[in-house]
Amino acid sequence: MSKLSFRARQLDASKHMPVLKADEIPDVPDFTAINRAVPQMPTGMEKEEESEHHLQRALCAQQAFGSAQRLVIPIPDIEDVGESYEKLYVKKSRDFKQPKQYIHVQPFGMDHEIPDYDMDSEDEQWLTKQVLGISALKFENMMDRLEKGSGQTVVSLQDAKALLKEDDDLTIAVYDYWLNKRLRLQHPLIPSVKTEKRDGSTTSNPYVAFRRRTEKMQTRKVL
Amino acid sequence: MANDKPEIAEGHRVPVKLKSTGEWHWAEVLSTRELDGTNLYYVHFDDFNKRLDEWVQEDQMDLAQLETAKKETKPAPFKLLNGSRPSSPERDVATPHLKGAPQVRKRKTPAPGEECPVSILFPNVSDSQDVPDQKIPRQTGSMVAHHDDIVTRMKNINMIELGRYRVKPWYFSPYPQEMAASLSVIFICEFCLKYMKSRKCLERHLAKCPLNHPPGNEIYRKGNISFFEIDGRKNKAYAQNLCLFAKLFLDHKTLYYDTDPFLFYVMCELDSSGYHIQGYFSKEKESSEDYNVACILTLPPHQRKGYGKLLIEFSYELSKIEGKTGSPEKPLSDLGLLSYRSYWSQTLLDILIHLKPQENGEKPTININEISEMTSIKKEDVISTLQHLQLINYYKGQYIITITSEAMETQDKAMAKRKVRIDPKCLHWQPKDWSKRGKW
Repeated sequence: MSKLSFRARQLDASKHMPVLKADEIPDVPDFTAINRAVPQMPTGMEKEEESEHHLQRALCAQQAFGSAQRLVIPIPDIEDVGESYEKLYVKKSRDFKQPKQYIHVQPFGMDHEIPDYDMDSEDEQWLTKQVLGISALKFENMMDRLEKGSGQTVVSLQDAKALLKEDDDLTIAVYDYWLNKRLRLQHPLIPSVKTEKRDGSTTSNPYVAFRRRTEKMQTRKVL
Repeated sequence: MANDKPEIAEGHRVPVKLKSTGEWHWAEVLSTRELDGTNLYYVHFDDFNKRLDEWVQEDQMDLAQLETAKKETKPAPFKLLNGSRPSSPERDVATPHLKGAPQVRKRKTPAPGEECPVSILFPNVSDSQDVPDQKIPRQTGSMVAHHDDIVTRMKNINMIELGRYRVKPWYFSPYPQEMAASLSVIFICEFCLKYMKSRKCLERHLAKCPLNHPPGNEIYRKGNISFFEIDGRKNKAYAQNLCLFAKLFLDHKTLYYDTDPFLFYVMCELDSSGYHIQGYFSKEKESSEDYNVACILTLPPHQRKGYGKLLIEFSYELSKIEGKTGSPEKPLSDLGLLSYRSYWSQTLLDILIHLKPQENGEKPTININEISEMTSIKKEDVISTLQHLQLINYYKGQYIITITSEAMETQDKAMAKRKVRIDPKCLHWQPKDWSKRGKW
């Protein structure tokens, strides 16, 4: 790399620069000599990842052709499950109509009447075998309340009766089913992300997320 | 001797055949497990991004070339001078704390031609609370000893299904552990992003989920592209679901802290069944470093359609309304880098090419400040881009900008591809003054 024979002055962000196009560019030897050395643009990436193979190829292509299009960075597989998707979302398709105005929502407006618990195939099989006469939604509501009423320990039948406010027969049937399932699986039935324990003992568990902020936070895992 | 197969273990290196291309490439074994009597090995390919790491079987390995000798392949991860990286807040206290670490440098603006010092690339260096000892040796290969790093280093979710796409995740994300079993699929509602363990559960959820769009205000609509703004405090559930999902495709994101201090801008494409998420970016309500983007992602099934640039363009439109310049938070991912460079290049060239000559007939002139003000692109990014494109030259004692015919040709081709642009007239938004409020 040829050394500059003199120092260029520091670039002043407020100093106006003339803009010349192709045919106006000075055609003099000292002009091209000075500008042969191209300074490296900082990438803003982690050093180790900067040198990754596919990225380097793409950057070269971008520099040479103005586009990395032909040399893409490979990514893992993606599959289109179109048909089953359409079956699942059919009801949503029927109900939707775009409003003329831009959509505006109420904050905190999520409907609290909807149970978070979703019935699975096992539940569905059990429910159809029983003669309880309740809908899937009602079943989910009950399971939801049992789940939310339990903390570290499962709720007792006594408390369940008070929570659910249903006929004893119905309460006992669903409670038994729920309790069995909880004990068999050994984890809550509504999947949720681990959050921090109140005593702060979960500092380094990678599955704990969304901790409350106490001080200035770091939003990037800069490993 | 019968059955004299070598034992393959962590730290071993071996050529592995990639399923996608059939090519062989050297890889390092990071972990092993057994499933139904078959041995499986989690491998990382040399110089390839981690998203290509995968579980492979012995029949994909060239065992004749297996290298079992443990060697120091790369230097320790915590050097603090070039490419320094502070520890994440999740790190266990196995690394000693260095009080008043002398290696932390003060920030300064880079002069043109000077490589940007690391303290600008990683602005949190001076704020980090845990600055590890420079001499911690690695244990084997490229793995570090801390349990939480080993866990987050490997993909944990086998497959996700969102809307009509089944996508193999690229990186670790802290979905509930019981959902991370080896062959499982996590089903995600495409409207509220709730995660479920089976298709039946998703079916039940869809019968109840009222949303056909993200739960926020639509602040932009043109053609079939819309942007919704979601407040991370007012819609915690959605914001958390979005972050969990995005983490699958963003290596450097951390979900350590809650979503309250962030706004989320979700870009959607409209069709007869609703507004379908294509990508998003998050933004701090108040950024001390003038970041106008925290995390940014185009969902994998929708990549290569130019949506990355649209998201970036939108982020700068918001900055223009705020009357500020901004820059994306670092570190950038490989895909992020390519998109930003491309966006910055095209935006600057677009301005420079269309400058009108002065009234007296002289060549048009411009300065960095003006470019920055017009585009809301931070000065440092303007300067680096001009240098990178070799647009800035020095002639007869002053800096000048020169645009070659090649540059103009490349620009024409690039702009022709950008059929969809953000139209500021369709953006209905005013920034909130977060400093005035008691708490966000």
